Amino acid sequence: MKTDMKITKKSNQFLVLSALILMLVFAGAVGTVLANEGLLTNEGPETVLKQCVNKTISILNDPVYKNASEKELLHKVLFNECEPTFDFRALSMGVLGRNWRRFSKKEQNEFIKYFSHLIAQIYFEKLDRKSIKDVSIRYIKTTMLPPTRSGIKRADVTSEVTHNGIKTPVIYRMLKRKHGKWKIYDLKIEGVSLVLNYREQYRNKFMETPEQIIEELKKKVNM
Amino acid sequence: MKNPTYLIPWLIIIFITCMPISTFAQNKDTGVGLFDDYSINQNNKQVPDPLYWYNYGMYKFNDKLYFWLIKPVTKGYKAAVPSIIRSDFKNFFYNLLFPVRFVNSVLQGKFSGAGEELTIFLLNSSAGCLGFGRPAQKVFKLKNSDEDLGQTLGSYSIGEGFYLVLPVLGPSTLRDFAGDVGDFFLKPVNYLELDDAAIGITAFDKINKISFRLGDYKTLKDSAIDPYSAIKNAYIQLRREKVEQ
Repeated sequence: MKTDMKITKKSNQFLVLSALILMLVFAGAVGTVLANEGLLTNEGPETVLKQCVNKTISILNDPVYKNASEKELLHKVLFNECEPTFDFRALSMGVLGRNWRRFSKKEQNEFIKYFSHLIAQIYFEKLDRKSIKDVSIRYIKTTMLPPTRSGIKRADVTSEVTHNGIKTPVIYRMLKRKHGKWKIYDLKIEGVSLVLNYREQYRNKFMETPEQIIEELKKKVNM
Repeated sequence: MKNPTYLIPWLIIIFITCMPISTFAQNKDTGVGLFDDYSINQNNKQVPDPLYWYNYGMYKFNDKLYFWLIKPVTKGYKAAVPSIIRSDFKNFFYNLLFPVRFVNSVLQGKFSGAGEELTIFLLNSSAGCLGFGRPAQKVFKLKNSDEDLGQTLGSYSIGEGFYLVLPVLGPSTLRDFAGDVGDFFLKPVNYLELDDAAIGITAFDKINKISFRLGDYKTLKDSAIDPYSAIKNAYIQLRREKVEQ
């Protein structure tokens, strides 16, 4: 009877131990996955933004892309690096305003694809190894904004970009969905909001069909 | 039971219960919540453009003027004159506009800003060698307040009126144009005996300024879906931001 007890106790201990180990391994795996997605680290908007900017600068300084012939590849690499830090869906919704509802799911996705590349194209065209050397960025403050009714957190990260001795205030408007990272959904350069500027341009296009709007956009993007 | 009318109340109930859900979904779908404060902010109020055809023509004229004359001239100037000298000139002309910034700061009741402007002017005109240097900003970390009469009028809650594209000078509004006319009398250059000299100096000042932003206009135009309304909206947003400050 006594030995029996001992055995069960031992096997119990073994069970508990192996369960613990399993749990730890599992937690570790989940943890790394979550951390990679930026869900566990609970990074603030400023940290996410800084990571994106620093990565962009290090890519631009990478000697691999020294030749002008590598420009296309460089732009591709930069796009893939920066894309996760932007919420191009929210950005596109803001840009199209009322027009958004006229787009089918497929057309919406198509618009997002081309519009994100247009935005990238503008910025990458101005960014190169030479110009990045005399650009300095200063982070000034992060202001939390009231969240939306559906519980999306929002924040403004204010920064100042100095280039050629000219200081330009740049505000990144960011959002955080319940299970997501902080992402940029608007840029305010010298007080001019990118979303509002494009919204004004699309306001007069309510007569055009979504296909026409997408076609027009396609022409501006070299993909 | 064969009569289908009994279905009607049920349909109504189903319809009513579904309604708030569908409107909620729609709100979510258009990202309304994310851009709510954009409409509360006066940024979203439209500025009328009753002179559209004149403005559009003037926009085209200025556009050609820029690419055919101003840009090549500025390019040559930029290549010939080193950036240190160009920025000295920029400082000099900026210092000369002190009366505009000072008077408008006072008119807006921003007395500390006006005082700072005065200090900057005195410092830079003396220690900064007639304003070519800017020790007030560089050493003493003083800050300019870029006020003008258009902003002053805006701070008195006077609306923009309507959009106006001026020849050579570019985008403006009725209010800002009125402001420019007023500010004209606060610019020392305009008190020169010779009108030609005043125009020449003003043109040089503009070219010198543009030499720091060569390419910006092309970027703005290239990125736009509709360049005319992109420029109009950028101007309006920029000015509203300045009025708010």
